[in-house]
Amino acid sequence: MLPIKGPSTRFIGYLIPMIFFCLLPLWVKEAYYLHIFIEIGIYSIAALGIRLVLTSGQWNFGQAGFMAIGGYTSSLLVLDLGWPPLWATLPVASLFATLVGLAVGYPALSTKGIYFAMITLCLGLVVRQGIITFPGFTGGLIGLYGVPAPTPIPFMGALGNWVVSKVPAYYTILGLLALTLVVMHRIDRSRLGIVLRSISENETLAKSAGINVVKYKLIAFVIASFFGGLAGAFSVHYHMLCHPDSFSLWDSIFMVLYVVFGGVGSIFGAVLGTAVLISATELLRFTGAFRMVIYASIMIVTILFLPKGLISLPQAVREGIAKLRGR
Amino acid sequence: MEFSLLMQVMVNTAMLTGVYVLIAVGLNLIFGILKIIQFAHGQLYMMGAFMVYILVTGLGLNFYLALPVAALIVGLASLVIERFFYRPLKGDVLPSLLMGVALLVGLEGSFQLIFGAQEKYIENPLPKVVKLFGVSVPEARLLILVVAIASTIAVYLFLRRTKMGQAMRALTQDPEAASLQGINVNQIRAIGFAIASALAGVAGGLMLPIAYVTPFIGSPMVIKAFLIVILGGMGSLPGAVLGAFILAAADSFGFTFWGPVAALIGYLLVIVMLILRPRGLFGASY
Amino acid sequence: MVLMKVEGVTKYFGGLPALSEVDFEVHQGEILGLIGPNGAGKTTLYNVVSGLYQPTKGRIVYKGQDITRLPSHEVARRGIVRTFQMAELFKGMTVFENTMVAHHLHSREGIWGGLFNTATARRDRAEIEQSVMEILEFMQLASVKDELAKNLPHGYQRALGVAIGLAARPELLLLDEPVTGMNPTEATTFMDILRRVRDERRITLMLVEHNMRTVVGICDRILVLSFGKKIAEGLPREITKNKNVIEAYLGVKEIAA
Repeated sequence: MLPIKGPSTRFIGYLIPMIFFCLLPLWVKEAYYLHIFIEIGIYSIAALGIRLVLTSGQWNFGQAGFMAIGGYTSSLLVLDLGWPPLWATLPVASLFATLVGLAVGYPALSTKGIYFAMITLCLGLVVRQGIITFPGFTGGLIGLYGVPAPTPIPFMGALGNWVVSKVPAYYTILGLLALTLVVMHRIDRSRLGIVLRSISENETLAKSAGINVVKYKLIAFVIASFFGGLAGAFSVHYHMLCHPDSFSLWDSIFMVLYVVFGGVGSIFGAVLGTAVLISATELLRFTGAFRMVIYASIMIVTILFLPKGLISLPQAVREGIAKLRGR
Repeated sequence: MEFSLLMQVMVNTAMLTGVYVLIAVGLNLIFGILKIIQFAHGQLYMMGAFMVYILVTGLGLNFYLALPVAALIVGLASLVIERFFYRPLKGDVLPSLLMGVALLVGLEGSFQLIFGAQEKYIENPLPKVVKLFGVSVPEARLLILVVAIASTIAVYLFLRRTKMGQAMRALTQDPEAASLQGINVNQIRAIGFAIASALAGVAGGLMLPIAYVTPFIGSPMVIKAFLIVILGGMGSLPGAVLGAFILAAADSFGFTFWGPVAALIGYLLVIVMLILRPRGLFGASY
Repeated sequence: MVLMKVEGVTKYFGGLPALSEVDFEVHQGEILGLIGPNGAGKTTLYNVVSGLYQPTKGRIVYKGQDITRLPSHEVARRGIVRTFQMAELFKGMTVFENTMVAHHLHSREGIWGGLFNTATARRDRAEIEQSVMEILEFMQLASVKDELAKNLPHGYQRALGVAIGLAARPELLLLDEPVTGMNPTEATTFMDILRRVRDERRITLMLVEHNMRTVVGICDRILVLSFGKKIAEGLPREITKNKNVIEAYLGVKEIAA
């Protein structure tokens, strides 16, 4: 039984962190740390898509595939058709990913939950394999060369240049993340949100109450694909690289992990989980293979002792103290 | 196409089928009895290969002796995994899935720490080539197939003829009824898990002479195993065998003759299969 | 006026007939009882009517339209809503939310409206809230509206099951053992509520129940199933004297003096 929480965070709860993050580059100037934030931003957006699908009770193990679709579409539009990178291509790439989500989701969602999860897993594999199979078009296993960074932001001088500074990427992803958070928050509070939750709570009852379960699952899935494509498109222009290994099955699985680790069903949890695990991966990178072990240990401890995810830590602590007191 | 190439590919298919069967049967067994998706199953394959490596190069043990010893070690290790990492989750599908991923990462990392990332080889104890039906078959590859066939038959007989095997089948059908009948559910689950893991370990050991071992050989294997289980149907032994064969054939023929597009079509077919006949070729419907 | 006609409905599971050639009509404004020994096929019949199962043979006509092949959410939209035996609820949601979900059918808030919190969406939501509160008050659940469904005592859970049914604005409500297990006082109160559902809200009811006294007390007509077949249909006083019915329930051929 998934402990999907209803919307409970007030909007003000988002405002303060937002201000903090807007001002962050004033203190943190090192490119490496900004890079970590940017990576967190990218994967949070994709993870939030996964989380949305999760509120309807479905598991999406193919989000990296949608990121790849977004990334490759954007790269190809720029490299082959000469479109200005990112600003023009981002919406189109995201929309294309959305269409794929629609096309695949519609037949896939008519199947039972566990099969849908497997279909999404295979979908990620199909996308990657498709990239490898047509190297003339996609650069295959070598990837696409020379994916350009977006054009520099005029009024920011050197800081506005994507190649030289991480700042424009940071603010762009912050903006995109903010947008994603607003959308997710609003959905949760809307009729769509409550319908999705009811589907995950009790699908049969939802059907009997007149809810077209497949349609709503599809809506969630399509929205998730949109944000997956969005994250992927941003990612390729930020990294200036478009390569199939950036969008592997393990990325998909890890993103699901981020959501669950942080706290299933909670928007904040999804971002928190992503932040913690990506930071851990990055910061522990210097320890080589050690980081895999530490990473795994963190996960194992959380799974065993905090099954509701990181976000339930305060509650678990409170309960633990209460238990000790009660003795 | 050249006859000898075709024969070579067929030999390869047979060998791969053997490997895949050993792994898929185990995964299927775990899924049937414990109802969990053991994502770290591939790591037991990796561990088996490492154990054989250590036993042969470190202790100078004979390869044929090292195999069962390695299987035993892997089986025991898997008991620890089941008891301390999976059992506390009480069969919850989702946490088990995540635990599997965590274990996968953890085991890969641990082995990398201990052994490093370099490929490790052993000398092929069966370097000879045997002539079967006019085709040259390396003995090492033949061994894999032989062991796979023997193991599958053994598992089949075990499940059908022994009390414990029947208890396992009862668990697959109806866990609640089984426990009410006095079957020690935890014990049966642990043993099933160990057997499945040992099979995977044996597969790893058998592959060592003709390939190599690194900490990373487990991950791709588990994905293949899942595709097989999906294709063949979860919880079905003949399904696992057939699925293994199909995948092995696809991998060998497809790769040799058609390149990456074979895999693409393969994955697409799996998706179509999941939509149209999700229970696989032989699986029972949910 | 005939609201629904069930014609020759047969349902096989594997080789076993759960329902055989079941024929009956539901008249608008009545309370129709559906009784029969365990395993007679009552819940199966509900499942077929509500679209959860497809019948092997036969059809269901509702207000002149053939609804046999429709999926359950479509059937609910047309006006036939069912409740479940074990009071199926959205356990992790509050009483209020449970009821509100079912109301969604009739909400005009679209996806974009929800996203941008338009004035129309807000007005729509206010209307729904009012409507939901009205239903909760009717079912005497208003006091617990913010409780999680899983924390409710049994009787309240049953009431919530009915509230969810009502929120879907049915014309025909199929109730599955709403009072089984309740003590006589609770059951009587519940039955009064059901009468009010029919009288005040103009909803036709079908009622599966085991307690004969309850059924006879409230139903206008009764339908009896046994082993998937209809063995009697008529007024309560006829049914209680019907030999086939008594035999099906008691297994005796003679009426005890």
